[in-house]
Amino acid sequence: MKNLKTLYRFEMKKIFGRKIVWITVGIMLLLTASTVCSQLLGTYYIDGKKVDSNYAIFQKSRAYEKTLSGRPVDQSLLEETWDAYGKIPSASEHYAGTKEYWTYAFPYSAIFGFAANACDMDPAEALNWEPSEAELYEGRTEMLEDLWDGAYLTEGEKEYWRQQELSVKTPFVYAYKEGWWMLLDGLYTIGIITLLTIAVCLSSVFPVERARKTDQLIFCSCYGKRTLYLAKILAGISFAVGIALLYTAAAMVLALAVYGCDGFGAAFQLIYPDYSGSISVGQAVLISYGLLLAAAVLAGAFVMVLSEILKNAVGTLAVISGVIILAMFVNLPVHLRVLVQIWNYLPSVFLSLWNIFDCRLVPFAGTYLTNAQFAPILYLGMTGALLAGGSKLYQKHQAEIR
Amino acid sequence: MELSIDRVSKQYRNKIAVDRVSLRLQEGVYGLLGANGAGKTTLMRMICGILKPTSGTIAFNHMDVSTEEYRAVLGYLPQDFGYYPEFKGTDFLYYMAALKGLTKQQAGQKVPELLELVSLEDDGRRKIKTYSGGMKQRLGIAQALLNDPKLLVLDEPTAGLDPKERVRFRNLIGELGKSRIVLLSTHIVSDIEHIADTVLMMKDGQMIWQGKWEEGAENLEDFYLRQFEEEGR
Repeated sequence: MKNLKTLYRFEMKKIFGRKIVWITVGIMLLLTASTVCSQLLGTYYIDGKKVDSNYAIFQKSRAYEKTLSGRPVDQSLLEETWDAYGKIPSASEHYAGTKEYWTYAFPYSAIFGFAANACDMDPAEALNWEPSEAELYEGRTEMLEDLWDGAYLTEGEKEYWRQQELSVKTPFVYAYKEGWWMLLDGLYTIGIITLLTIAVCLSSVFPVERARKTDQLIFCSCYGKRTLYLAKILAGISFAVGIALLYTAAAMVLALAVYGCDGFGAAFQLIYPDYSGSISVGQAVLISYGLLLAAAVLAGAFVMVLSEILKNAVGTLAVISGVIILAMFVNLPVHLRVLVQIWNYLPSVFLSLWNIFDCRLVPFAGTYLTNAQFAPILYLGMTGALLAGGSKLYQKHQAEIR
Repeated sequence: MELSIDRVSKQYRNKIAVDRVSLRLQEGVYGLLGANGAGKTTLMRMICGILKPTSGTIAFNHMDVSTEEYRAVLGYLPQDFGYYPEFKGTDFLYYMAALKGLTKQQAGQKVPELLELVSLEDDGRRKIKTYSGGMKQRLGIAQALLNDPKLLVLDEPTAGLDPKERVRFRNLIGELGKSRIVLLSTHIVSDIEHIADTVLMMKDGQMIWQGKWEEGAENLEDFYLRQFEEEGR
């Protein structure tokens, strides 16, 4: 399309020419950094008593976890762990407050935590558990079956996951993976930060022409309708993708620099035992942040089209912020399976470990798609539909006398 | 070359802004006179395709107003319009040139030429937010001429210009009218008296008078006022 590249360049200049864009991106970058590093700040207290700084605790924990890295979580390691935890006086109210915990048990806390999580045990149950490799992995399988029942999966979906589970190699080999874990843990916050930035920066792409009364000039120009619409959309979408990439890069550089790059190939179940499927922690991070990009594309399109409908940047921002805040408080009953599944695809809800790797599936051409497979198709399809509708609306724009 | 306006009306909820206006314009300068709210700007916006008529048709050489081809031969200076404050004068003109379909090469030739024409050659590199009202108006005139339009619509083109610039632009408009259709609206009757070949008068959305204005005939301002008084009786 003639002059599309030139118009795209000018639309980008318009977006970046606004101070609010630079201020928002600056603040959100700081928030991204604090999301990744927040656990290192402050002091660790038990029963109001200072134990140490969070950073010092992290350093000790990292050293212990690195010692355990490469060891299979088998009978031998489980026995070692529970022997160490057995040294904690049974009478103590909070075991983490005892000297024995810090001396003997803390070096194995990662294994203890994993086993408790995988078998859905609370700490008291876990302390009284008789360590058994077979029981650990069977317990995880039982936990998965309970999880699938609780999520109202069909028999076909359960069978799909059982087949996936066959590819999961046990015993899991323990690995230090804090850098990758922090990226997965921070995904929800970074997702919200990305969506808010897109809402603030793109909500004026269309309404600004009306507000500045430049719509009269562009709409009577030869390429002011179809070509300019495309240029504006391309500029907005590439801005949205750029912002998602910027926050992802900032989070990755910081997380991997502070916590280290170790553990990319570790089994994802070490972090999220609820998932059945043979993927590594690093792959889970790449999938999650890839989905952030797809969500950013949809959010960019939605913000721009909504702003064209409302013809008002502030109104658009209010609607988007309202939806994001509302989504934080809405908790749909699990038995409304389809509704829950649809709601969970809302980008501000979806961008979290538990939704991306959720067990609910989408039937497709005789097989099933996981959330991570279906979401990009859904998001890109919705983006296409939104942009087509937005184009029709934009072509009908009239410069009314104001 | 002909601009054909056929029974064009624009109706808002309880007001008829333009009421069944029909015109056929050929090369030359057409001066549109009328009080505030007479429907001049609404008519001009419809001629520029940025406002859809409630009824009637507008075409230039049989090209409908809604087509890209029509917009390719159109130049428009709105009465009240904005700029991109973060753009420099040259940025704005290059942006408008791209919107009007000029190639980079054509724009590279046309932009300096027009900046010189509107006496902004030394200010083109400055941000528009630093421009005075008159400078912005001159930049607006420059953008309207970028695509060498066959149909030039100017809504209050001399507003904000100092007397010297006004005279210069009056002459420029007169020159432009020799090879294209120029339709201009203004409150300043003397502007029209000096450059318009044909005078059009609007009141309450209707075209109440149209015709050639002969030099040496009656004073246009007196005639204009009388038309309104007569209509008001």
